[in-house]
Formats: sequence, C-alpha cells, structure tokens
Amino acid sequence: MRSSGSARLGAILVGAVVCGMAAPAAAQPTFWLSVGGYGTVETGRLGDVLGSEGGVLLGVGAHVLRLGPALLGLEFDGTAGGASADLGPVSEHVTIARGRAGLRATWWPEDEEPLFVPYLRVGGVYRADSGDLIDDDGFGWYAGVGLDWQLRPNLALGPFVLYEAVSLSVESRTWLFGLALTLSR
Amino acid sequence: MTLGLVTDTGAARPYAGAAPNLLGLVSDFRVGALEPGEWPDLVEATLRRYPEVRRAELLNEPEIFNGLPPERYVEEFLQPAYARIRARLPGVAVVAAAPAGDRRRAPERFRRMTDAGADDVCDYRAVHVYFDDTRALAAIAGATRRPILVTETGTSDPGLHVRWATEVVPRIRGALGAETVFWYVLLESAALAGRPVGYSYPGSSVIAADPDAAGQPQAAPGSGLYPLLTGGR
Repeated sequence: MRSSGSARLGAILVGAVVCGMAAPAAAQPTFWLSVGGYGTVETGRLGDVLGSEGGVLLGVGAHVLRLGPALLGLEFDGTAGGASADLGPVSEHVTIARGRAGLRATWWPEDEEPLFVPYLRVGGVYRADSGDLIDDDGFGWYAGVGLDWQLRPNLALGPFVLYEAVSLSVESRTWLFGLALTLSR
Repeated sequence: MTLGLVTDTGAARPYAGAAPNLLGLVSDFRVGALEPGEWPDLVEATLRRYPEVRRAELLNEPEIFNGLPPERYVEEFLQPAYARIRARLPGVAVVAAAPAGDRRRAPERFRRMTDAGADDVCDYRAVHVYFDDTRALAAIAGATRRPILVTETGTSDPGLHVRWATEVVPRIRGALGAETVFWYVLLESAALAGRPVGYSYPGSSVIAADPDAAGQPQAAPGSGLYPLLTGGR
C-alpha cells in the first residue's frame, strides 16, 4: 500500500511537470546561467592547514516547478579556486575544484517582476584538492542563500553565501561568500 | 626508525641514540620493488650501519610498498634475511613485517604470513593497528605463537590523540599481549611523503613541524598528546 501511494504521488508530480501545470509563468525565467567569484572561510579542521580560498564559478539551472510564490529549480555548478596550504616545513598552492548539483527555491510570486529576488539552495557537492604535495577529495552537501538584483529582465547581479561540509581526509566546514552575474531566459 | 636501504642511508643517524625503545625498520624511504637475490646483503649492510639496533623489522607493509603478497614476502625475503641475521648478526632480533593496518585485511594477511611459515623465521611478529576492533585483534593474537609488537598505531585526527593513547592503546596492548606499542608518528610531513597525500597525512604527528618562538618543540595543532607526555611542557 505504501509503495502504491508513493508511486501515485510521483506520477502526479511528473505529470504536473510534463503538462506544464506548475511550470513557471512566461514572465519569469526558466533557464539561467551564472558566472561569478567567491572567497571562503574554513571553520573545520581543514582550517589548521588551508588558508582562505578564492576562485571563480560557472553555474546553470532551470526552474521546473512552481510551488505557490516560489519557483523550484535544479542547479548545477562548478568552481575552480586556489588556496595556500601550510604543510609545516613547506607551504604550497593547492588547486580546488568543485562540482555541485542541487535544488534552488526562488521567491518569485506569480505575475510579479520584483527588483530583488531571494533564493535558497541545497544539494550535494564533490570537491577535489590537488597540488604537488596534496591530493584529496570527497563528497558532501551544501546549503545557502542568495539575493539577485534584477538589473534588467534577463540580467541579475547579487551576492550569495553557502555553507559546505565535505568529507575530505580531514573535516571540511566551509563558508563561501561570493558574487554572481546571472543571465536568464 | 626507518634506516634506509639505498636512499638516505644516514638520515636516521642523529636519532639512533635518542629513543628508549629503538626498533630499526629495514626499509627504504622510496617505494619500489626489491630484488630477492640482493636482499640478504642489503639487510646485513643496513644493520651494520646501525649497530645499536637490536630489533629489526624487515620491510614495512610489504604488500603495499613493495608489491609483495604475504607468501612471497615470507619465502623470498623474511626467511633468507632471518638466516643471514642468525649467521652474521646473532644479537639482532628479527621482527617480521607488519601487514597494512586495515581492520578487514590485516588479520587475513597476518594469518597468511603465519601459514607461509613466518613464525619459524622470526623472533617477533609485528602488526599495525589503526582500528579499535576487539574481534580483529583477537584474530591476530590467535594467528601467531610469537610475541607481538605493535609497530604502528595512532589516529590521524589530532583531537583524538589523547583518547587513543589513554584508552585505545591499553586495549590493543591487552588484546595482543603486546610487549611494546609504537605511536605513528612523532612528526610527519607531507613534504617528505614522496607522493601527493591527503590533508590528514600529517595528522598523526604529536609534534608540530615548526618549533615555538623559543625554538623548542611544541604540540601539533589540535593535539593534546605532547603536553600529556611531557608533563605540560
């Protein structure tokens, strides 16, 4: 019975998306592409070794569902950055790459064109750190918020903040602060 | 203390007289394959460089660092070296290499060494214990009739050093009846690993890589073990 109910709910959701019943309204963007930069503050044990990171990001996403005043979307992004690792007798520059996939809920009431658009993000992340002396990687999760300032109907600029926990060989708990420019259609 | 076979053969010299329980690890600083025909001469030459070594562990986790399965290690390396040491260096006790310290594979590899005859060609068996698992420890203890030395233990999480040293090590010692337990490692450095390593690699260190402002050793970041061992210094 339980699986039958779950299957029915899934079928309803899939049907709603396919039929466009809950799709974003035409005035609101369906797809977006973001570029930006970020800096980090490491609060986990990794902070004993690794300094603040700076880097760039590239992201894409799509709104697939409207839930009341919010648009629910899928997002994918990648980052490339670097930081200095203090390895005792030596230090080295470590290259840090991430891939993220997750959900984004954007507060954008139907038939409105707000100047500021807040959003929440949550998802999974894969991170790989590499250098001459360091080779480490792991999976984790992230959650965060952002605020887009709509410069034009299809162009927004805004800050974001993310909290990220990744299982590298030592605990990584990272705050990321950044600025993203978003093109949408 | 790693003695070095063909590389950095004098690197351990400054430390040879400093340790109260000196175990000479007859192994090289670089990973690689070994030629069985050259091995007895290499062992003898290495031990003659360090006459203060009274207990010698022959290779380090040979299946990992030298590509030697347990049976081949015992037949081609442990047995010939034991014969050479008995003949030429009778005051040196032979410690068979410890297999890698994984809770699933270490007991099985340890047993395979025994089945290959390791107990007949050594004075001690060695084990690396990076796990707190009484069942795995019991399996190891029951797989040899030789006394056991724990030649590596520790944790790469500095925040757990004190707990490991004060709670886990006594359990390990009791379960194995180990005469001596060696902590890995006093001071580790990614710069010396010879290959890229994870951030946790130096995490077993008790001592920080950099001395304090007065030039004295200081505790590794996050570890309380150094002040515990030195009485708060």
